[in-house]
Amino acid sequence: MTDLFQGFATIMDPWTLLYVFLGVLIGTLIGVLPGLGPTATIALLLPITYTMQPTQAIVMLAGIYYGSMYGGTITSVLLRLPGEAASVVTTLDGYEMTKAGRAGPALGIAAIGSFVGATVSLLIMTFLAKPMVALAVTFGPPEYVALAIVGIGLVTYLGTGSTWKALTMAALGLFLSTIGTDPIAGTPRFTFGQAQLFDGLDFVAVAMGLFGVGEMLQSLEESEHGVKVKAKIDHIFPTLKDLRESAGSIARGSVLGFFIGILPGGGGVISSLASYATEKRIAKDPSRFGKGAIQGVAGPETANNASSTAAFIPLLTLGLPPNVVLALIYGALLVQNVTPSPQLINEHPEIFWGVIASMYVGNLMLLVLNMPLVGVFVRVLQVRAGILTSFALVITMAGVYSINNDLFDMGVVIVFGLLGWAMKKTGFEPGPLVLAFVLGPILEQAFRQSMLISNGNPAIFVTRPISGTILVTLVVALVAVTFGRKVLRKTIGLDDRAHQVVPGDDVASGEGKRDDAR
Amino acid sequence: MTDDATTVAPAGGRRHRHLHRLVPAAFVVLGLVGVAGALSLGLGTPVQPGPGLWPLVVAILLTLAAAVLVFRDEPAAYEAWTGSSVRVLLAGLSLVGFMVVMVLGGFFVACLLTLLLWLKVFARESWKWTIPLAVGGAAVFYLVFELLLAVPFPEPLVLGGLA
Repeated sequence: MTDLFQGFATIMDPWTLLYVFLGVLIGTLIGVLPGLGPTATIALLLPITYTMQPTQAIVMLAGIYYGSMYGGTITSVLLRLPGEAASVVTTLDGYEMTKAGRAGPALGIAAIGSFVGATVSLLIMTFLAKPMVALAVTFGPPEYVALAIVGIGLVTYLGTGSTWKALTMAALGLFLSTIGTDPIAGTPRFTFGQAQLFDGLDFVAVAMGLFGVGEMLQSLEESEHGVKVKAKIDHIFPTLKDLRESAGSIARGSVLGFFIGILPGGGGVISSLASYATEKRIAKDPSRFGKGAIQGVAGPETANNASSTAAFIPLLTLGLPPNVVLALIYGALLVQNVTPSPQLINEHPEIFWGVIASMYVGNLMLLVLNMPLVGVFVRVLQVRAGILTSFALVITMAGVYSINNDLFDMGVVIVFGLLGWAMKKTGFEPGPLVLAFVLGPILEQAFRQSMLISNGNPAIFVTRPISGTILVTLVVALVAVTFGRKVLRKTIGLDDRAHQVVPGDDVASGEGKRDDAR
Repeated sequence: MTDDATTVAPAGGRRHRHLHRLVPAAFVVLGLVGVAGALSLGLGTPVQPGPGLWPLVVAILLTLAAAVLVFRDEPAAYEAWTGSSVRVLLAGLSLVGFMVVMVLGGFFVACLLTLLLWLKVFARESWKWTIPLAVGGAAVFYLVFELLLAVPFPEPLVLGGLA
């Protein structure tokens, strides 16, 4: 606990607190706004983090991530318009509650559930952090290869579209990560004599292009207009009856969300869908679901916040990002010369515990912001997407130039921006590409070290107890997901368009919004 | 067969029903180029892998996954290209214009012209909104990036005095 108090001491600096606040505020706003998701926003803000201290940068980006989970709920409940994919399932009962004049309690219980879910996740994380790190330091290169394969494998398989397409993108990401100087021999690879490519493609420019510019171009094509909320929002504080009815759903959602969140590719959507399916399955009267059952809002909203919080565990303890948003945060740490690994807790305790402490405080801020200020946030919906996009693009171009003061990076952003937009048009997801691009160097280095250790015998990956177990777990998980997918769809009964997000993940796939899920 | 043709119809009719295979085919070509490049880098030995071994592994993975896609990909996953798509393509390419104008006329001019173009043409705002937003936006960006953050943008080649 002393470590956690040190974390609180770190974030009690007024500037750090301000960045936590800014993060959760921006997160809520972009969660509300259709057209710009957490992935795109974090990608766009990466250059700004260069000028900040590492802890401040990470607490702000983390705040955007979990803040967007709160914001996404607001439009799901009021307009049946999920601000981000994890909230798709909330539309089923949340919007029905709005139609019945109970928008306030729906939003209130979602905010309370989100707060409880995130806090439970944080408590488990606080106590598990040290044992997890102790386990992680026993991992050698073969275990890292196995973990990276699991990460890429699950994100590929859990994506929203075709698995083969996702695999192609992951392979492309791994291939792009080989551009630059060979880490051991020092030989230039696929650089075509260009000095700018000797250090490889800049991760920030690639992410800003694929997610930032790509997503903005897509929103331009959809010509989104401002929306005005007509529903009356009152009685935001749920009644005792509402709280009593939701308590079980919130408790189950917290635990379920935590365990799904720590899995690679877990993230928000799967946990919210699994929670909804669980609640519907154990309900005395399942027919109430889809007609305004408060448990259908409380459970999924709790679970998606619990899982997005738990997703920080693999990053902070193992140094492996489990999904695309965490991959971007991983990138932000790298540019600050901080390499996430099991050593992070010892080398940079202020970051490790600071991030955890900031999430306690940030979630409290979100609860305070969301309960009384929902009415203010929905006004943001009136901003026209075209204006937002025009300004965001100029910020992107200036931001990416400021990284290395190099026009080459602007070119990379434009190329990858057009590529990202074309990928969306052709059904390819950018998420697996970016995750594989980040994990590629880790995977290559661990692979080469493993081959050295084993005298060139690739059997090392399956014969070592831990790496073998990790790979067997991947196979079991893939089989379980295949069967689980059918059960989830059948239990939840989402319509055909919403099916497209089962069991994918905006975060896993890298798509901030699923407009097709509306 | 009939079903297939029906599914493809919206994307361009029977004549174009194999058009969607071009994308994965392009990835196959890229993968093969990667394989050739990796082989030329040198594979080393399993105990001491050379710089080309890992790229070879991933290039083979890319080639195989894309090759499967050539046969298995569903045309329904591809969105139709419309007039709006061309507009977006032009919008993306206009960012190249941003780079060129920035080099020639400086950051402020590039911001101003890009915002004018984007707000009026791509966001379809009225002049009443476009002009104040573009001028105000460019001024704020100039203030933040050039003056406050002191980002060393290239010295304008042509319009030095303006910037």
